[in-house]
Amino acid sequence: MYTFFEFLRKRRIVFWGVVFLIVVGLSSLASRCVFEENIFKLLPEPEGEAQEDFRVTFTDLKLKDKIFIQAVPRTPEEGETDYEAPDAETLAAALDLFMDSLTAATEERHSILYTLSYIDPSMLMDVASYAMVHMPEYVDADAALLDSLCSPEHVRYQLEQYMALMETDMGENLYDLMTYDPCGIALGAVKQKLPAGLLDGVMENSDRPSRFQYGHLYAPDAQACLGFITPNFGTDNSREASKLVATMREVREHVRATYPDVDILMHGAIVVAGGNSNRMRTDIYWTVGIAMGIIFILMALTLKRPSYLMITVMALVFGVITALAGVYLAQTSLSLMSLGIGCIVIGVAFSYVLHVLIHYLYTGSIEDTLKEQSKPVLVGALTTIGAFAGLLFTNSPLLNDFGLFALLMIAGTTVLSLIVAPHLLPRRFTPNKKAFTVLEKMNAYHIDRNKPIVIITVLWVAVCICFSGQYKFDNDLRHISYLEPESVYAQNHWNSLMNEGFNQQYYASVAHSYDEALEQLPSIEQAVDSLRAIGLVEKGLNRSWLMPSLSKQQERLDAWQAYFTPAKRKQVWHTICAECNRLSIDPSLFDNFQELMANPAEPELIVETDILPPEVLENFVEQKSGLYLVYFSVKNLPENTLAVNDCLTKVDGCMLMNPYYYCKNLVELIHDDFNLIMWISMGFVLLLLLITYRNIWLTLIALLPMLLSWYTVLGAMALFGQTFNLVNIIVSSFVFGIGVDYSVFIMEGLRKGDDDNPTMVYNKTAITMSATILVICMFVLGFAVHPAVSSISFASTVGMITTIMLSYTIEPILYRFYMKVKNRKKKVKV
Amino acid sequence: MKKSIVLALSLCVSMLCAANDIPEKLMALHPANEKVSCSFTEVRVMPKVKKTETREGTLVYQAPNDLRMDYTSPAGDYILITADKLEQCKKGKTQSVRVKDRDNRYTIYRATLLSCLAGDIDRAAELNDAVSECKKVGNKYVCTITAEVAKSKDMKQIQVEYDVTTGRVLTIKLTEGNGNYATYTTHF
Repeated sequence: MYTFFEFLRKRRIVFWGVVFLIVVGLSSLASRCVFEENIFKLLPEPEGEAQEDFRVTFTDLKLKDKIFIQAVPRTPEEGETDYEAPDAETLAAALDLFMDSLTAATEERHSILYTLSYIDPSMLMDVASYAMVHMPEYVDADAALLDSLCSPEHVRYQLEQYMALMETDMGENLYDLMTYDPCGIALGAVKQKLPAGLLDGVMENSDRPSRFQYGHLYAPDAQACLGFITPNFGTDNSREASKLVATMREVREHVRATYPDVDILMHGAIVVAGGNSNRMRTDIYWTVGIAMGIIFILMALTLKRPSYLMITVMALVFGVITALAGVYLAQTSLSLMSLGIGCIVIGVAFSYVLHVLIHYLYTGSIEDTLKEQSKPVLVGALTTIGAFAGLLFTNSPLLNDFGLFALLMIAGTTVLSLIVAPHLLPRRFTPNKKAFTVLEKMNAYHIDRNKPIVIITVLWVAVCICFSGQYKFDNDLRHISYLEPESVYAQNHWNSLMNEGFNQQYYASVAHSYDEALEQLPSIEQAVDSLRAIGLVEKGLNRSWLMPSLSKQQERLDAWQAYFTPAKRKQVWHTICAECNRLSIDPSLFDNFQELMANPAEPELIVETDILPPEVLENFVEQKSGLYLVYFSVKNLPENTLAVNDCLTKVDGCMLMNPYYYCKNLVELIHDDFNLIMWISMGFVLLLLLITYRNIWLTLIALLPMLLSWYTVLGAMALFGQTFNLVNIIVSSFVFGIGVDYSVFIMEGLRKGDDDNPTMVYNKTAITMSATILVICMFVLGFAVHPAVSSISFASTVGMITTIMLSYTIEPILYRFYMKVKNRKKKVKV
Repeated sequence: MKKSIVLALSLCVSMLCAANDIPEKLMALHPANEKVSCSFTEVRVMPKVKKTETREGTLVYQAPNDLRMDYTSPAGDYILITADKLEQCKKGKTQSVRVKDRDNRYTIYRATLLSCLAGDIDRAAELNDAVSECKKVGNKYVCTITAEVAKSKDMKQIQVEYDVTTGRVLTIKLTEGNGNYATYTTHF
């Protein structure tokens, strides 16, 4: 390495020119790297058709990304006596202002696809008219039932009902609908099929506040005016989600200022994603910022000269831009979560530049530094890269991201530490003698010769290993997702108003055409009905009745035409005319029904007409990448949710619109996958150490701290009631990397001879500094609010401390024991 | 004889010309910032069910976009038209339609009422895909707007009577495609 250093020093201009070009090139590539946040990137990539369906459903579908908006009366402050809750009209006006202002504010970014708060009354009437025109295809009426409905008694009853309805506020609207149905064939069926209360205020004269007034939808008793936003992007676009949530909050302030008695609540996957992203960024800024602050103060105090600090920072910055550039070239984008986790790798990468720097500070010779540090730094870096490279073989995009970022970061920092940094080292060096003296004094104390400490360490490790099989793994991704309190409040408020304490879940009938999806819907609904019969399901809307398949429509139409023969039509029309005359109604009022009997409309799918606008239609059906989904919802008690999901997802073509449900099995798969990768990484490290030391015993001694620290972490998690999750178990893997590094450097020192040989002193100083920095980094993460970030702290801090203790105690003891045995054998031979 | 024929033809031509002038005259009689308030009677008839409903109230019209019709019988009902919405309260139930959304029968109804009150017959005809015809009958202008095709709830015919001198609306008769009609009679 020193020869290479000399070679470059003689071609200084060319060397610095190349370095400059590389830095500019890497920076340019790194700046193009896109950050995204999608917790589902933790999941494996699609394999097979089922996985593909799953991936399509949960990355592209609009329904899961819908934002729910509620305009509600604000909570009066304590002691506020003159507070008067706003009326339904004010809530609607506030919601309109929110939606309009938001649409205007996001117009340039095109971040909103649709908003739905106002429902055009004429659209409702058009849908009702469409249903009446297609009545024969929507009604299951056998001959006996039709006989009964078309009897003179029933026709008379029905006409009297209509005349009574004419006196209500909805009379005029019903006028046109009733012209299609003098016998009450459709209206009776509609009322029977739809959930009770859904038509309050639409079809009936009720004293309760209407669920539909001022062109808006309301929660029962007008407690909230409801709206929906369909974003133009998915939850994976954390940047856009974060911006949209920020804009929504600004607009909400504007609404609050205009309508002081109204509050706007919002929840949904995008709000959670935006909140997650904001929280993650804030946590990263603060935790990394504080850690870096402390580290730089520490560095400044010990290294004294700003140029040393600059070299350290440059090595890290170079590592980061190398990693980002590499990620950009490999896959364009990087998960924000993996960047957050990857920040810990900064601590690992830090140790390489520290080793070079501290060795130089001690020796004052670049030649000595490179000759003595190149090998351990390279071996340490390669073993760590090997440990992280294992993550590249998983199917999880987030693990890939993390692995790629980490190994490139370490590679970049190592290259700069060994190739560029030596050219930047000052000719004169003035180390802070006191700072190093403190470190030296600390390290001069031979902890491995202190029996109580060694015993405590061994006991701690032994106890933890005993408990290592009892650690718990939390496979629920929701627990590592951050939910903002206001989003939780909005969700609970919605549930209490709309779901009566039940848990409402959306499912879809998925197929390769709408008709196919609609055809399989009745069998899914049968499963729902059977669950309802045994009390697991409370409510479920019969969507197949609202949207029958073409074959079902044809079947009903055939039955209709078979019933309404020319003779029957004549008989029924005669009855209608007679009853109309009795009530002084012009029979021509029912010309539409006469036409319907003789020439009913042909079957067609309502979703393929333009009756429903897209912002309404997407609540019922969606089509994406050749898959057609028909949505329906089910309400059940929260304790029955898992059982209901397990049953319904087993029905052919039925998919639960809750990605977390499917994640659990996949998370378990990743967990199993991860265990395998750990062993592969360990095998790689073993091989590398074996090549380096060419001695199996030295290799095993160097490997032991890494192996034991992993089981200690597992046991410690079980002992302290901490749970592993997908994030902290991944991060714990870095303990492997750093554990090997410390072992390698300690082994390097041990091989040089006595306990206080210079190499051991230099290495221990560097390890102590590196370990201090890392422990600070990890400890600070514990103060993060985001559960994914804060969950890292305990496992990695315990892992780090254990690794240092094992490297400082067990490794020298075993080495000495090995040397003793080796020397004894030599003596015996002699 | 020739003179008589020429005179008769001249009379016919002048009458036709005068009739074609009526929309312009009506427009001229209604200033851009016109404000009108009066009482009115609404008679709504559903001939096929032999149902007639009579309602009374007061209206305030402020050109170009504001109209409020408050019913005194039955009390509490109202129709409110502003630049951006049509709101109707009947028997305690309020329904609101926004103007900025796609055209529908409610927004067309709103714009038609405003056009009739403003004396803009051509606009009312255009809104309903209809043809208009205006004639002078005594001291009234009678304008009839007839749609070629009208769905059940669409306007089939609109007949508006104006005072020749003041241009004030005397009656508006709105006939729907299903044969139901409503007649609004103003009382100044």
